Amino acid sequence: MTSTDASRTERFRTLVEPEVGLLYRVAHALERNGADAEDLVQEAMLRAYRSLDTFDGVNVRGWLVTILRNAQRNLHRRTRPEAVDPDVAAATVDPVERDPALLAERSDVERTVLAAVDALDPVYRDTVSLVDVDGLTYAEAAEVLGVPIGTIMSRLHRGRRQIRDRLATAGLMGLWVAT
Amino acid sequence: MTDPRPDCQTVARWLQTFLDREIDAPRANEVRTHLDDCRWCGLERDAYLEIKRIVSSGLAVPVDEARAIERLRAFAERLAHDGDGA
Repeated sequence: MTSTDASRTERFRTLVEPEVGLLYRVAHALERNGADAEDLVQEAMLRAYRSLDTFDGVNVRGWLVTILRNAQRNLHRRTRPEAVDPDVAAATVDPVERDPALLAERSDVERTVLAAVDALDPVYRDTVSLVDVDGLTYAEAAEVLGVPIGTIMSRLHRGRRQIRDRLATAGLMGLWVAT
Repeated sequence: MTDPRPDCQTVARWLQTFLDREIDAPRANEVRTHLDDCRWCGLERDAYLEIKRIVSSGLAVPVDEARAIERLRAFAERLAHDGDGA
């Protein structure tokens, strides 16, 4: 391995690998299908690997998401005549699977929240995850998904409201203090 | 003169941006004051904080998503180790 290869390997591990979860969630939000999202992230990582030498190291997430979105556009140019509007198109909802042993260890509140998250439209679920799991700001989430900030706010509000309503329906409001 | 303090309906509209720290400081102070005084809105805040805690803890990541990310991490590691074959 040359010193250039070693340096690229190191940069890839340091810069790209920690963002795999974010890339998958953005890809899932764009593709609305787990298998397509996985293919897209693989393609984006290949492109990122090949262009690492020219990346200045600033705003790695922005750089990676731009690569991902470009890869998505190219893939769809070959496979689909029109881009899909995620707020209009019917969702291809992947069935959600959870580990029963893990669920058994959770409180009623946690199990109810997880069930509510699973029941969310993927558009809402992905947006909530990008903000709450990946820690994106509204502006960042809007940029990576290519929608206005108002759309992010609306998706967050509706998604979280549905989870909150499920807690209320289950009679669990206020019980987390004791759990 | 009208009361400048926000009512429950207004606070409900601002609550998500408040919890996500996406609200400006003066408005955040108004919301905070209202939440301290209003038991019902305080309960709503606590509910959404609990939802955020559970989701952000990673518990809400489904098994299929976790597996997909695991496979992608393995792919990334192979790429880092072996190169792209170009």
